[in-house]
Parts: sequence; structure tokens; C-alpha cells
Amino acid sequence: MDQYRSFKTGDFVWDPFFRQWVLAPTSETDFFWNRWMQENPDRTDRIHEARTVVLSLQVKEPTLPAHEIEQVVKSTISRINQSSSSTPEYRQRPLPVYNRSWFRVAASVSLILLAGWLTLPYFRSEGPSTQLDSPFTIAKNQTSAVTDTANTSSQPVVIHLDDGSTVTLAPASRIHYAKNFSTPKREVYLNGEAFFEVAKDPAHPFLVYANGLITKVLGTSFTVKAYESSREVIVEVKTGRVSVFAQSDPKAKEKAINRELEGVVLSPNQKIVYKTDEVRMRKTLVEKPVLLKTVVQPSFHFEDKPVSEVFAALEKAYGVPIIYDRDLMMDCPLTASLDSMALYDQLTIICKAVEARYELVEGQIVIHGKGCKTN
Amino acid sequence: MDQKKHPLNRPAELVVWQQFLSGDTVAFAYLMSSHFQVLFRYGSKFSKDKEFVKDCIQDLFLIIWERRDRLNSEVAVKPYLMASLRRLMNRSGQSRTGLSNEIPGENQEGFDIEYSVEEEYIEQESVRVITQRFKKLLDELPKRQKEVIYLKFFQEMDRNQISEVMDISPQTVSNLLQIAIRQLKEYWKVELLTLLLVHFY
Repeated sequence: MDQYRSFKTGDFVWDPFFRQWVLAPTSETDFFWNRWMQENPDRTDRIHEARTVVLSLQVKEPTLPAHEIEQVVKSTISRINQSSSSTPEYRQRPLPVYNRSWFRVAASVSLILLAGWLTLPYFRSEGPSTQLDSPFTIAKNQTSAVTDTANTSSQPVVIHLDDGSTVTLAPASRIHYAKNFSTPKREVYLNGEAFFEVAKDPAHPFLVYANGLITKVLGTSFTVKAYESSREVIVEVKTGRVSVFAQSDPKAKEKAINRELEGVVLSPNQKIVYKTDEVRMRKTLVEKPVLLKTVVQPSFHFEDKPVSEVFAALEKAYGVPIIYDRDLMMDCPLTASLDSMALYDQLTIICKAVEARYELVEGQIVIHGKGCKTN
Repeated sequence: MDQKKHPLNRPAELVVWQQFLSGDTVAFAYLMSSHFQVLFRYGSKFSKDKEFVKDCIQDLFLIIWERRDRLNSEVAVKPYLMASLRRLMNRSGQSRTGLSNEIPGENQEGFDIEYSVEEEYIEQESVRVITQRFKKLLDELPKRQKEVIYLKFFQEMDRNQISEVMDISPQTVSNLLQIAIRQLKEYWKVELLTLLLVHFY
């Protein structure tokens, strides 16, 4: 750390770790540099100077408007669809084609235009049952009773389902589901990543099938990451509770139908990693736990409070169980202002104050400490 | 096949890459639209002709789509695409200059990069002067050092990725970087000294 004592402004400007903090700060780098400045007050001028230089010295980059990119991508896709039309293994996706001045062969332009014109009305006439925020970037395939939606854009896309639930589909991801959720279950099949906000309807469980893992909810919001070529599925809960179980579970069918939450139950801020090749589920916490939605914003300002009270407040605010030895920690008083900090930073500070450390075990926080009876 | 690990590679990116390799047009479209801007910006350093840069990027993607059966499934996607675009543009550039009867050589492969000083961050006059100095130092670097500095500090690439993009050995990357950074700091010292001297006399 002390190599930075001898740094001049120019050394800071070209130090990768310093630049990283200035340009993309994280709570860890903030912590490091703020503490470094506290410990080296005579160097803060250099830091501020170097910081300004890094921020203000930018590369003049030309920017291509999004619609121009969109056009080139579209024409490229239709060109590869044209050339692979003889090989049936690739699904054809008709796309509107624009007249591009730089198409070198005029004949290919007219050919593509003709193909686009012929296939477009057919797909338009189907009538979208889902509302799409950006129909421009969505490739849809609607055959029989199944709706298949893929997000080919670089932005997440919001899809509204008939039951009032919404799905935020990440780029390069795909879902399909029955056109109407008239069956006793609401079922969605996912490839890739999506965030679900499920409308409450206890009589009709909402099920997400992804790479061998079934996630079942009654009404809640959560994210599922299940990329086809990845060997794991991740489920992260934001609000409410969900249950997950493997599709290979012999009782999967029963579990999916009944109205109880069975299997591994996840609470807010917990996540599960399911390794498809190990048939094993690992429960842990999400990377950035968020506060539960409550009417009153919780306060994390503590003055001479027993640490057990502090833990109770955090437990309540994040909905995450905190395990610690009540007797041992009883005499630890804490004075700290922990508002607007991330949970892990709050824990780090508390643990430092009471000479303890924390650990994440099975989606819970476990505190190890020797207590505070000093004499 | 080259099986070396790229530590900076995000797994999610590889997932999309492998989906593309298996012939998935959705993944391909995503790959193209998500990298287009960065490739356009990089390509613009070699040519000021906007349409030419766009054409080259499209050709690049058409080529990798054609060759997807033979591509490595474990690449660092961004550096790979940048390296391929660089080669492609060099080749097209050479055939262009060939037509106009110019002598192909080191000089025709330029790397034009423009830095700007964004005023909104600057509060003190003294810092403005310092920042202008840094800009001047950057502008005065030879073109290969310019490119190395651009990739390292403004594209946040590591040594191996830069070596792949510029098609030089990792050792050469280190050397170039070292010389460039020394120059950026060294000049700084000399300049300060002369400034001080001017001040005193």
C-alpha cells in the first residue's frame, strides 16, 4: 500500500488500480482509497489532481446511432438467412429489410426486398398477444398455442403475460409459454436470463422450467439465469419466497401441482446455484442484498446499542437470517451510523468494531466472535 | 487449437459466443449489435471513412458466420473481434492504396486518436494546465505506443489481449507500454523542471 506514498500525480494517472477506482468505483476500492487518503492527508491534493486528470482526459470517440447499427445487423442477418436457406437446421426468421445503398449487387437487394415483402404480412397477421416494448428487436415465432419470444437486442426487453405477470428478458435469451395460462399451472420455459415479477394467484402456481431446474412461486419477484451451454442454473430472489427443485426429482410432478412450497425454499436476497452435472444445489446470498420493501425506511443509526439489537435490525431489513452466539455477544455495545451502505459493508464494520468476522453459510450469515468481555 | 485461458473473459460472454458457434442466429445478432459500437470506434482510428468502417464490420461478421465451424470456442470475444477487424481493414486498405498506386508501407497504417479535455470536471485553473500537458504528451506518442496506451487504459485490456489485437508478442506489448509510460512521465519531469527554471530566471 505504501508504494503510493512516493507517487506523483503522473504516477497516479497511469496506475491501473487508481484509474479503476476513478472510472468505475466499487465499494471495495472506495473503501481502500478513502482510507488511504485519511491515512495520508498530505497526499490528498495529488489524489484529487490525478482524479480530475483521469476524469477529464477522454478519447474523442465517434458514436454510431443505434438505428444505423440496427440496420446493419438486420441486413447481415437476412443475408446469412438467405445463404443458409438450403440448410434446414437453422430456423428462418423473416426480418424487414431496408434498402441499403451500399449493397454492391443490385440484384441481391431486390431479391432480399422481395423475400421480406412476401413474408412480412404473414407474420403481421398473426397478431401479437404479448405487448412488446421494442418490437424492433424481437424475433417471435408464434405457432399453434405456444408463444416463443427471443431478445436479439442488446437491451433487456419487458414482456407482459396475460395473467398480469411481467418478464424482463435479458439479451440473447428466449422464453416460450402457452398463449393463455388456462391450465392449472402457469408455466414458462426459459433459455438464458430473465427477471420475473409474478402476479399473486395462490390457486395457480407459477413455474419456470430452466435447464433441468423448476422454480415454483405463488407471487413474488426473482431472477433465473439458465444459459443453454452453461452447466448451472442460478435463481435469485428479490421479494417473496420461491421453491426450487430439480426436474429429475421423482416427485417433481406432485411438487409442481400442489399449493405448498416444497423443495429448497428461498427467501429474499438468497440465491441458489444448481449444477446440472452434479445434481447438487448450493444455497447462498445474492451479491448485493437489497432492503425489503417496507413502509418505513429502516434506520441504521446506532448509539451504544447491544450488537444483538443491531443484528436484529439487519435481519429484519434484509430478511436474511443472522446466526450468532447471543450470550457471547451480549456485552458488545456498538455506536455506528450505517445508513445507505451495502449489507456486506455494514457487516464488515460491525465485525471490526466487535472483533468478530462473518461468513455466509447456506444463505445465512454466521458471526464468529470472542465476545467483548475484556476484563 | 489455442487453449490458453483468458482470465478477463466473462463467462456469460463465452456462453453467447458458443451459442453463436452452434448456429444460433439470435446469439449472433446479439453478438453483432453488442460489439458494433466498440468495433466502429476502434475501426475509426484506422479510417475516417465511416461507411467503409461499417462495411468492414459487416464483412467481418459475415466471415465469422461462414467460418463458425472452425472457430475456437474459448476466445476472448472482444479482443478477437478487434484483432480480426484490424487485419481485415489492413488488407482492404492495402488493396485500396494498391489501386491508387501508392507505395504500401508502414506509414499507410495510421492510428488516429483524438483526446479531449472535458471541462466540466475541472475546477481549478492549475489542474486545467496539467491536464492539457497530459493531452499533449499523449498526442506526441508514436502511433504504436498510442495504440498500446489506448487499448490498455481506454479499453482496459490486459497484456495478452493487446498482443492478440495488435498481432505482436506479449513481450513486445510490455516493452511498448513501458516505453510509452516512461515517456509520459519523463517528459512531465523535464517539462516541470523547465517550467520552474523559466519561473526563476
